[in-house]
Amino acid sequence: MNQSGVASPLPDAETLRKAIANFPIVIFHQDRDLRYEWIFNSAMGFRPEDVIGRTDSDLLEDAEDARNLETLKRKVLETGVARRQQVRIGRGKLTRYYDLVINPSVDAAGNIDGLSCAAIDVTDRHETETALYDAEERLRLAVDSARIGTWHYDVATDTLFWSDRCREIFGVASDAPVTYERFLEMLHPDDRERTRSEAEAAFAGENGGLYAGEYRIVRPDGAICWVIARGRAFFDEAGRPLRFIGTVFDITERKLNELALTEAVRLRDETLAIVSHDLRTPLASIVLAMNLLLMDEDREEKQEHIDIALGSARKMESLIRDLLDVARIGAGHFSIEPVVQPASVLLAEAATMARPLATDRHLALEYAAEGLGDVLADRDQIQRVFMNLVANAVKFTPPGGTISIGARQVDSAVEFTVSDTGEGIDAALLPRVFDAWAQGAAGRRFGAGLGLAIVKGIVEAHGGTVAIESARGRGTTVRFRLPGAVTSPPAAASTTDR
Amino acid sequence: MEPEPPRVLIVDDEPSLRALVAKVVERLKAGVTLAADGGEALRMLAHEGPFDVILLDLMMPRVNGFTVLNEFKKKAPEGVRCVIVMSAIGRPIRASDSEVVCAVVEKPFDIARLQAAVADCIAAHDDADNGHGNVSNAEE
Repeated sequence: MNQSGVASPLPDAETLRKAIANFPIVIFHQDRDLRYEWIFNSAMGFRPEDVIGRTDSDLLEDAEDARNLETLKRKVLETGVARRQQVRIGRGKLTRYYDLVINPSVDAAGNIDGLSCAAIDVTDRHETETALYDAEERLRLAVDSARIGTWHYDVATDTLFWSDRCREIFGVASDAPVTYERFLEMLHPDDRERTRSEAEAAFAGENGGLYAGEYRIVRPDGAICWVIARGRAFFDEAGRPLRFIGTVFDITERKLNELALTEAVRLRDETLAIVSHDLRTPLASIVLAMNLLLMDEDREEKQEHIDIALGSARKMESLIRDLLDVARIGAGHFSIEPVVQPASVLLAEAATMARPLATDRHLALEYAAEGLGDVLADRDQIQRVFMNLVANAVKFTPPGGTISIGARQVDSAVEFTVSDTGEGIDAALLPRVFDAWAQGAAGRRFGAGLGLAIVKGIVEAHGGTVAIESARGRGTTVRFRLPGAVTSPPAAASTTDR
Repeated sequence: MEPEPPRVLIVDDEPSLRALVAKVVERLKAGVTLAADGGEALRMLAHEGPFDVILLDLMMPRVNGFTVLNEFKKKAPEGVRCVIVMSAIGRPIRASDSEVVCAVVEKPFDIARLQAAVADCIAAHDDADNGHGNVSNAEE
């Protein structure tokens, strides 16, 4: 204060009293029994004449306030060590906070004869601090409930601090040390350099030090996690970065939904292309047949072209029916009308239908059935199942091959099989063959790819199951089981709800 | 002396369309050979070629039209573009296919369009044979 070494003149007591009276400070003296001896600038409506000769216990309504104060003060009397502490004083509805300094007062003989105290009203500061604490607490709650991870990078120590949630997102143990380089290593290789340059741009003060990015994390277990990160770098007066703070938010679920949506749109577009292709082909036959019909003079030729046009129209109709059925199966609205009938009859009908298709393609047809019981089946729909399976077998089996149709009794159920000696299906495609629109490799597709989806829909509507076995170059076998007639019909005779 | 009738190979997996296209081409006084997929087409090309025009469907089971195009590009004499692609999937022909593809007719096409494409293709070869034009640049 008085660094010049020159003693400044002290004001007289009255000047000092006037000066201090303008400050929110209470000055008082207490004896060894903690009775107030004098008080200056008393506050909270206490008048000096009420206070003098009394103790805190006499004066304060709240016994706890008084006990706290007296405990503190006794400690100073006992130890002779001054203390400074924030205390609360309540009176009526009024509560004030004071920064209280308690000094031991010493008599001429060096004995502690009382306390010399000053109390500054810090209620405003206390309220500000409390509000700040509440705000931080609310923020922490929001961050926690929003599952936001927070991070803080300190330049001076080159240390990265991660919140528990942040560590959870990155899949890092709570005690594992993390550095900026380690963080970059955890990013997906395709996102690493971009993220590094984005973060370093913010660190170089670009865009006001603000950082906003999106990247993938490869967790230690190999799982990919999409994250959006926001951050801000803080700088000293010279523009040097001091620290970088921010948040990370796991958006994996949203990303996966977006990807699924993109895939669904792609599939829809592909489907439209396939459907349009498959409708154009019979349409081409109809157009040419009609053109020729106009030129035909021969009655037999006319009839042939009319038949081709009608046949092509029926193919278009059948494709449209398949499309609608796939939509119904997908929505769980596909219904059948099952009745009890011999499995052998269904099989014989299937063979009759398959024979000309096989013969046309120079394929042998093997057919075997014996000792079969009754099944509960919608005859037309089961013929459609056979039709689709035989059509696939014929399409993908080169001339000279064999198509086999058979069945066997498995407990009360009957298992039907359609197999071929054709080109088979790649192992990678096999799990998807019952999905609508699943197809062979691009350019190899044939038909809308609805056949097996409809087979599955029909069989499952019967309460049955379907399975496929195939390997490239080793032919394909499809097996489907229908429940025997002794079991109760499937509830509501419709596909399972989805 | 009557000139040899042009020889046309028709490749389509759809039997009715194959038969109808054959009838249209026969009306042009051309000889017709049929193939039900790409594999048959390649066998026909190997054993019964050469053909003046190949009418080729793209989407076929087993061996598709794209494979036939690739095989044909390897073997076709340079500067001879005798493939007419019959497509139900728009115009998926790559630039590299243009060395063998003379035209693309989109399904559904009518008789006039198909006959014009076949006639143009045959005429282009005749011009080339007579030294009146460079076939490979005829349509650029």
